[in-house]
Amino acid sequence: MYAFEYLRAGSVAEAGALLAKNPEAKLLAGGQTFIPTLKARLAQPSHVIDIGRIAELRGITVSGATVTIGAMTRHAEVAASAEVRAAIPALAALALEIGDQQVRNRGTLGGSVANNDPAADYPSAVLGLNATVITSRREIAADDYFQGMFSTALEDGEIIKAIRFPCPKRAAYCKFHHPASGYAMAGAFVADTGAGVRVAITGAGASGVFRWKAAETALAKSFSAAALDGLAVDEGTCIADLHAGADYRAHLAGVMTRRAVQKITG
Amino acid sequence: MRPVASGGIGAPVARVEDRRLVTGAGRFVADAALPGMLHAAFVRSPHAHARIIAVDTAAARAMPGVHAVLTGADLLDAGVRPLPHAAVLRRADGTPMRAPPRHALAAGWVRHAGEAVAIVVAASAQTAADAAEAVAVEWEPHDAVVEARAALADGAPRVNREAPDNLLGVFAHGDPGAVDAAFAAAAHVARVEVVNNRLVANALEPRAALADWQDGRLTLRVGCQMPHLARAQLADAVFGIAPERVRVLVEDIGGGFGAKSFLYPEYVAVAQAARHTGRPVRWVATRSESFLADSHGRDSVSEAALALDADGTFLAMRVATVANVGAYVSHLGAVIPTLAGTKPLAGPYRTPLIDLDVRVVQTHTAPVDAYRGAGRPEAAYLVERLVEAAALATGIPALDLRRRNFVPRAAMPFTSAMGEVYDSGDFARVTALALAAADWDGHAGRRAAARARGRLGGRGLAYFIESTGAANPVESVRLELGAETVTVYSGTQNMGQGLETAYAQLVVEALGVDLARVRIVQGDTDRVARGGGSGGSRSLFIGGAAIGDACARLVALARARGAAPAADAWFAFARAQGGTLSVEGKVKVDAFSWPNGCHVCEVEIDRDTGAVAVTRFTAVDDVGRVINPLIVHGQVAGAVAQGLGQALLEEAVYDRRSGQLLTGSFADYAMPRAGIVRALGVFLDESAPCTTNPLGAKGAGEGGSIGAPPAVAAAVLDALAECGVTHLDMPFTAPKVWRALQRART
Repeated sequence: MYAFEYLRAGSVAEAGALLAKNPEAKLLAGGQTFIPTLKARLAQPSHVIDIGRIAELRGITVSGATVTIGAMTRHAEVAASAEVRAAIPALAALALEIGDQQVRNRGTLGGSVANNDPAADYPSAVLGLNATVITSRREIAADDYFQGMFSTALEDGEIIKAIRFPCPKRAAYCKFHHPASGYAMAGAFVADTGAGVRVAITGAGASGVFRWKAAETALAKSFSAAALDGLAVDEGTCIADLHAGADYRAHLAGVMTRRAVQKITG
Repeated sequence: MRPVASGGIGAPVARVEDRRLVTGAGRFVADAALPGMLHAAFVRSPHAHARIIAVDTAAARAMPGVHAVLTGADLLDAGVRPLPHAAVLRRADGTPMRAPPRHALAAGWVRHAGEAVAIVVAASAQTAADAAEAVAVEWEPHDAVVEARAALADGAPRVNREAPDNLLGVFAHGDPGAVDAAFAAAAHVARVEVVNNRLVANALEPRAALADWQDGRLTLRVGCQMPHLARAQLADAVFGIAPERVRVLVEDIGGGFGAKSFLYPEYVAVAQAARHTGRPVRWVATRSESFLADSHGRDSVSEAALALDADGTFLAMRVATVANVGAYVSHLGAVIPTLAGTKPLAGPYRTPLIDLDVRVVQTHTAPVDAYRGAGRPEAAYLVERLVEAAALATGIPALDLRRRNFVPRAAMPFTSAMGEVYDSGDFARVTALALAAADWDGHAGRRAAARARGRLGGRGLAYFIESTGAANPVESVRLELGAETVTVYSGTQNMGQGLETAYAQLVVEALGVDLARVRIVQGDTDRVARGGGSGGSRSLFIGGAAIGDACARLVALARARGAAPAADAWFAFARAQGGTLSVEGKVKVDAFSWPNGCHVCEVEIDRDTGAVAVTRFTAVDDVGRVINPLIVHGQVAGAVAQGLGQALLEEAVYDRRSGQLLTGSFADYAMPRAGIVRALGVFLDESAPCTTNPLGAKGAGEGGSIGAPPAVAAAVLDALAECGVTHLDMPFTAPKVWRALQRART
């Protein structure tokens, strides 16, 4: 770890002001990616601004047909939330599959979505549920938010405050765990929103989370695993690395999508 | 049944060291601090193979808080000599093997990514790390080779000037002509080619060292399994000083697994830094450094063939192994794939002839040395894969082949085709116990149930035998009877395996004293005169036998003084004798012990993803006489978990072109977690105690990591057989299994 100044922000406004004042500063949320990055000396911020204790960023609100989750809400809180489990059980189930218990006790929704790791779980729920990212400056639709591996629509100094998830008619998440890291080797979030079907794939895409539109169209016609027969994710768009080839990840994305549909249809 | 004395031999005593370890009261090197202590960080090579043109330390030395920066040249100037190793092999032309000198800090060339080039000593660890980045090294990078067989190819990048073909040495055994004749006459021949994947031990506690060099005497605090060997190597080989001028101190070790057996370059550099600065210097490895610079384990590829007659009797075995020893020869690097690892190569079988050829090869990778099993897992894996292949070649079930070829109990002691004498063992009985415990015959039902869930069920069995301990058959202890306690001073080393408890039980058994009155002192070369350390599962049956001898001498001493104390009366006796009585116990065991066991594994494979789940695992181990069943169960379970790790998950991978370690963190190197096995049954059979040591014990620390990989392999290949898959190499990862299924379909 390189030396840095540690600052703790008491409010989103204060965090924004500190960011504006210190162009080389970075925000610290749950720290489950950022702290290991610092420890490996892969980042050298001048200041680390801790936003993990900002009260306005915590909490879960169910209102009408939406669930709004504060950016600093821990994965474990989402997994255990009776409100989330009632309104969007697939989201609570997803949170329960992130990392391990220690990671879930520290890691946050906002941290995950801001980082947009191509193998993270939450981006698939945000995209699959057509959620809205509420920031310190605006609201961003999920389809506009994710812009490639570790890349988002967030501007410099813009802070995620909460994410608003519309409650779907039915949804499920299915994930194949990477045996070392626990991230998704491939994960599929399938949602029947009432207005249509959305399928978001994480872990597999070389540009991060993406919608599998062919599967969405097929499932919209007939919401069944059989509707996916003959469909395949284009392996040309998938990650190939030490652990698995692009063909395996493309195949796995298909398997996880089928299983997510089967989870829903029973 | 022999009645179990309270706390004595055979008693399931909870480990006395556990309260300390699980409540955070353990004392590790990183917990030790000395007044005026400085902190060290290493500059490591970013290249797998490069010439060092220049090292500029000026900027680092100028940084506030930096006390010293030492390079390889500085160590040479100070007269620090290279680390020693066992040069046991010869080259094919008969000349002795010659490895490149392993300097504590690279001098001239670096030969693996992560090799230490300079040490920076500063007032804080943070400053040391910052200054290490300020050391500017001018490199001339060269091509690297990381795989042993590739290193043998014409034109491969050269690791060792003394061995331009990268072939460090060869090791052969047997009569090739007789084996050829047996193959020519065979009704069946089975062949396999198997890779034994490279592993990183990954102890919970990374390596660390704290050196203090005062008044011409070095005190090194280090997590080391063999303190007296470290002292000897530091004194004699490296610094050229009398052994009395070196003290090695070991407190708790957070897991050794063989990888903390021997001297490392960093320990020498830290010691020299302490001498140079006159201040205590401490270094604690990061996990990244552990991956890069701990000695690795395994890494060999073998071609083997087994000749059988029409009835399935084994006639002869032929084995050709290429073993990767890495860029330098770590202490036993050349021994493990040759002298040590091939001892049990006949397995539990009567196979009369073995033709063995091992080539030990250097590559631009971290040195390979002992890791739980150390050569014996490779042997058992190879033999058992060959037996499974023989079942396919002959149509005779593998279990029948094994039973037909087992050395029968009545034939003990038995001299194997490797020339090794198995003193004891009842392989047929242990197999029968394992079949019953594993519900072998019930597998068909579970397989059908798996199929109904869309899974491929598989069942595999492996029998292993291993050689433990007697490469160093001598051990001595001092036993002190005081007014309140009995203290044993032993030069073996607890590293988490429970010696403090098991040793105390031996004292309880012999003297009848309360367990709480027994103290075990280890890990201090000043307080313990000598000892062979812990490795190769030697401690209990050699070090423990020495304790038995010491106790017997104490009893004899008391008798000579007209007393026959028991239990607390020992302490009254000591007080009557003036306070403290001291005796020396000594033992030389006659031979290796031969722990063995039968492991049965069941798996379910997800056809769609290739994921392998171990649904049941049963281990029946013969470790001879059991001193503490709780400890042995834990040892077997832990070793099985590590064996499952090798079989299913673990592999240290270097990039073939750049020589960079690709699996340098836990995000990429998969370790087994508790869920690796859903149901694990561990059973011990004590019906064939060891005959070559007084305790009747056999080593117990390594069997699981030897038996598990071939059992898993057999189960996985059994599950995949119906799909036409006949071969796979470890680790059996989901993508690899899926690909094999894809290939078999086309």
